[in-house]
Amino acid sequence: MMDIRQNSIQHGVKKEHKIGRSKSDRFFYTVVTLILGLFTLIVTLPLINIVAASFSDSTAVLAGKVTFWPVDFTLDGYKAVFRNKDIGTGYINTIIYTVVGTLINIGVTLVCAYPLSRSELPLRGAFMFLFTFTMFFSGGLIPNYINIRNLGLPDTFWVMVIPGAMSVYNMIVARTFIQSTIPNELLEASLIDGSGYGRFFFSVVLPLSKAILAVLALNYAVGHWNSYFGALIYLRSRDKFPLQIFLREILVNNKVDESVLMDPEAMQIKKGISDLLKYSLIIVSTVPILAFYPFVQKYFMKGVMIGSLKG
Amino acid sequence: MSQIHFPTEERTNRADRYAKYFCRMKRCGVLYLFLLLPVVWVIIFNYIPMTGVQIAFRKFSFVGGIWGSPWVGLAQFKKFFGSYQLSRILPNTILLSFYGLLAGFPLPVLFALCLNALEVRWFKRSVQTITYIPHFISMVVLVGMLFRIFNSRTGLFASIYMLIMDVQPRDLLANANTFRHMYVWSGVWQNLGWSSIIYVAALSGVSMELHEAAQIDGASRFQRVLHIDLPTIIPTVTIMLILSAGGIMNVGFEKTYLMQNDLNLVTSEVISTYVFKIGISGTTVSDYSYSTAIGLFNSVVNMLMLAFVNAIAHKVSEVSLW
Amino acid sequence: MKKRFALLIAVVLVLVCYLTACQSNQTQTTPNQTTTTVTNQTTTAATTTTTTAVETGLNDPNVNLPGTIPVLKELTDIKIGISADGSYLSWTTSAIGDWVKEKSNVNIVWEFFSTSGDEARQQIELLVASNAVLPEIIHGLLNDSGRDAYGAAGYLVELTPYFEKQGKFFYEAVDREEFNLDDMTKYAKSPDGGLYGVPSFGYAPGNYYSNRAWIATPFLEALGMENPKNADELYEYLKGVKTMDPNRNGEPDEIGIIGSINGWNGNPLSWMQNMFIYCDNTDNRYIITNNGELDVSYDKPEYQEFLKYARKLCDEGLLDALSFTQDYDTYLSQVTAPELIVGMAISGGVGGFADNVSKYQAANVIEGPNGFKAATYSAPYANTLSYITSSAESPEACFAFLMTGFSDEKYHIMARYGQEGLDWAYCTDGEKGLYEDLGFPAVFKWLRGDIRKIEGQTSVWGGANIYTLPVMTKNEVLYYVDPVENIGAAMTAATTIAQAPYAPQNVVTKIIYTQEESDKTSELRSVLKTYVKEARTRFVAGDLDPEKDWDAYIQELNNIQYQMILETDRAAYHRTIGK
Repeated sequence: MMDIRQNSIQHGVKKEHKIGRSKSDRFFYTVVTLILGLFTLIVTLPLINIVAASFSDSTAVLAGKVTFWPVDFTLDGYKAVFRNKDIGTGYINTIIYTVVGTLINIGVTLVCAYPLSRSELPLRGAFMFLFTFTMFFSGGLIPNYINIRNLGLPDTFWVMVIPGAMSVYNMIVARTFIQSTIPNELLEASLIDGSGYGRFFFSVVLPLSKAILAVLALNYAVGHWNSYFGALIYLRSRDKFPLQIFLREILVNNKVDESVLMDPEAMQIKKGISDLLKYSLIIVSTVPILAFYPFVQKYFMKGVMIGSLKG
Repeated sequence: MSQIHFPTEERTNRADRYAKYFCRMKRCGVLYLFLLLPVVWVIIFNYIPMTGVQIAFRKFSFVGGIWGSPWVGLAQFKKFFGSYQLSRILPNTILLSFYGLLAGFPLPVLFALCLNALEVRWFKRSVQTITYIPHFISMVVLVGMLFRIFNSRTGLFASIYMLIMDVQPRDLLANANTFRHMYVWSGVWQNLGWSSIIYVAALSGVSMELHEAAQIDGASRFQRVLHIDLPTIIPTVTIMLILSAGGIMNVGFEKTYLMQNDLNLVTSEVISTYVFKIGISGTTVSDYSYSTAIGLFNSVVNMLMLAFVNAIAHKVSEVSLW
Repeated sequence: MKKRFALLIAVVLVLVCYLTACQSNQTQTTPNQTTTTVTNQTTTAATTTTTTAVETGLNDPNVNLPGTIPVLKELTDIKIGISADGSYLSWTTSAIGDWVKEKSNVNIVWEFFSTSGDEARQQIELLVASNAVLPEIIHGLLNDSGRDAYGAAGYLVELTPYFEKQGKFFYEAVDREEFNLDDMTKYAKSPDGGLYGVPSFGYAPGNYYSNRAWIATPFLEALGMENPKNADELYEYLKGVKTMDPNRNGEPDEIGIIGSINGWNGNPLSWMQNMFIYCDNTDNRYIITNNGELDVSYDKPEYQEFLKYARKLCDEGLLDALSFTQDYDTYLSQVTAPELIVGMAISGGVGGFADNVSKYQAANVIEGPNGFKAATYSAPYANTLSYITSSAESPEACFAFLMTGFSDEKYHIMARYGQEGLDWAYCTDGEKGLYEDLGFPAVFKWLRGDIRKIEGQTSVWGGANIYTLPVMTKNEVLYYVDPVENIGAAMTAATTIAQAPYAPQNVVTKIIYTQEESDKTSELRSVLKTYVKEARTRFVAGDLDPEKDWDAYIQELNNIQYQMILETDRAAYHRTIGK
């Protein structure tokens, strides 16, 4: 048995060793591929519709003429967005908040998840409770606001990255990941070698956690990228505003607010742009994140543990 | 080939005991050092403002602020439980949530397992990349799309239906019974890809050697998924389930509000939309005490639910939150 | 181990105690403004000068005698909070801005809040709740309940004594525009009797008749009918639309009456109710009975008649049930269909009708089978626009500044239309105004279209509130537009003129509730509103029968204690109108 296994390991590390597909396997693959393909189609079609709508004339969009290709091609929706000079500032600010914020997030999350993943840690349960409790109970908006004010944070760069430094939810996910994928034998080996928990963290846990790091990075980065409410209430200077604030401003500026009595003329023009904007805004604010995704994707698609176990 | 042996990854007792011994030797102090930063952070930013939750037991007014407003005890809670529509909004909220959980939780797991099982790389990567995009669509656009597609005269759904059945379909948007289905399944469409990412990541840690061994033993792909892949991610799945249970009372306001209309209000009125409507027709700028009290109630239920599922998980498997 | 544990807990506890103690020391203190009662007001403004200006009778020597231009002696900075609406941000100078600066000697320092009304209110609420510094003046941004709450708590300055001392320009403006002073101030007050902001009013009748219907002219012609005037003619028309293929394309694709759920006044039932019993512009469904008493419409036999009629129309497919589920966009997609299919469109305006706009005309006010006919009318009133906060250094100076908009009728003309000769001019060739039939001849005409729509203009501030400062004006009825170019405005004016004769003499303008009344009824009121609306739709298009389920409906209304709410409203109504 051993010999055959070694043989196949030699040949088959990169590619799955084709022993020959049985009938049931072929059936399995076909069914799965079909189902996944169908679902992907159901997802893609409306997405194409949104992209097409963002490039179409607003009356065509309203009339429902747009299906999968732009009708009366126009860049008005995008112009309405990029015409605003603040967009550049918004993009830069958001990128900085996202990069710095995500780094801080990952750091704090791992530094918290690692000790809690060790079941031998005394009071582990108490600490878990300490953190989990905050997922449910919070003072509410006004006490949090007063707290941030007392700390002198409003209208600074740090207010965008420190109060949200860790999401307990993500921390729990990270903890679970470390617990279930880093075998205890590795720790034992490390402790025997004479290094402590600290060294173990940096030399073993981190390198093996690429997948969860990628997931955390993705989660947190998306959170920062879309963040809006924190900036709304804590930031005052326009040069610190993130992208989403400016995008919403554009949307609301062009929205027809019936409580503000305006003549039908003005309403009509605004409505046209407002409809287009709904779509072009999604594209503008999502494309950068989509571009980021493939870089992280490769970390959690397949095999990170190969070669770490000996014998 | 009657029995295929699937070796599982388990923490061996020996390693466990060694670690415990090590720790008792006071060598795990460094772990506490690691925890210092998060603990300080959570105290400053979470526990200190948490004292403000007492506003649920007061009647908030701007004159007194949080600490100076008059104390009213449980009055806000009594007000909530005496709500005229409580018998409508409470079940609606819970049912909608449960349904969402039932539909929305297993599917990403299955999706991840299936995706992982495939071999053609370009297909896998593109499926994954495309299916997570709907997560970024704003609620307004999503509901707008839903309205467009399911309009019983001009929508895509109507066109297909008429092709087959030759008559116009019932108005799915005007029906109290179909509201829940529309709400939940549109949510599945939007979030399936994104939610499956964590499981795909967990599956990346599956040992290749186990698969090799099973293959040699003659296991089919399906059997391999069932007996190797699935057990590997069970800890992750369990924790995600526990965490989801902790969100049982959180039915999103925006989507529900957008999808409501007079004809489906019987099932579409939930706690968050009801409180919002009262707030608009209400008195002070926002009845802060009242909304905090309701939030507190929601949180307590959430927490109990989480503790309950956690306890079950603890009994059934080794995996639990605490 | 145990010792370390105890130490850890002790440290955490001490930390928490210390920081909480810090927290509680920062109790809410009421701001130094002493207000709240209407009588015996003393303007204890935060003045630092000791010499009182004897000639003005005011405390701040920087403020000129009321009625003088410029209103302040020296150039002063004033911080003004306003919504971050594009125009204020893109350039710092505008013709109107320069004019205001010259007349007031105030250098405006804008402080921006969110463009979305709800979010701006949230931002201000947080500032107030945490006792932070507010801008000295706030423009808009607050709603009534916010203003009442902040005013009562002392965060907004109560302005009655300021009007008494400095209000000359305001009273002159009201006189000049021939408005009723009582109307301009009565409804701007808060439940505690205080006036916490400066009222502003622009007379715009086009907005007071909100339930409108648009009827397809080509269909009328194809069917050989006139614009329906009563219920029978309406029924004939709709039947014809559905059965006789007026768009002549061989397909039964025509739609009778259609509306939307979120369009501006897009509910067909609100429009239709006026054939049977008056439908008001709020969801309270108030009516004023013949002896001046407040009542509701939704429990009356006429209302039941209306439900039966509407149900019949809906069952026969003449009233499209999709009106109650589809959004405005879907509604528009049907109205703008290249082959005309909608016989009667219900929306407050024709915005978005695109190419089909010329195919529609205003529907008449329709007389019901019992001879009743009415048009929904929203009685106009002045509400507060600008507020002086407790953070103002000199409330007198701020108040004087806010009077600038009233000081010269040129202000509201320039603020709205731009610069004379460039953006607008006086009418000279006898151009017929849109509202001439209501007694308002055209006085101004646009030279290059609506100034708000012109890119890069530097004449006006723009923004959602075009006037920015409080004004008293009739501009909206006095300008001339070409009815062919601006067909939307022309159609709005046409329906207004058609409906004006049928507005009831007596409608509820606004009811001001006291805090106790509000607290007692707010939840039930919200439930009642929701239920009445829900039931109305279900009676017409859903699962309730106007005949069989009427009693159960009345029973449910009683469960919600609608009579109690009505009694409360009656008392509040009488108190508000002062009778």
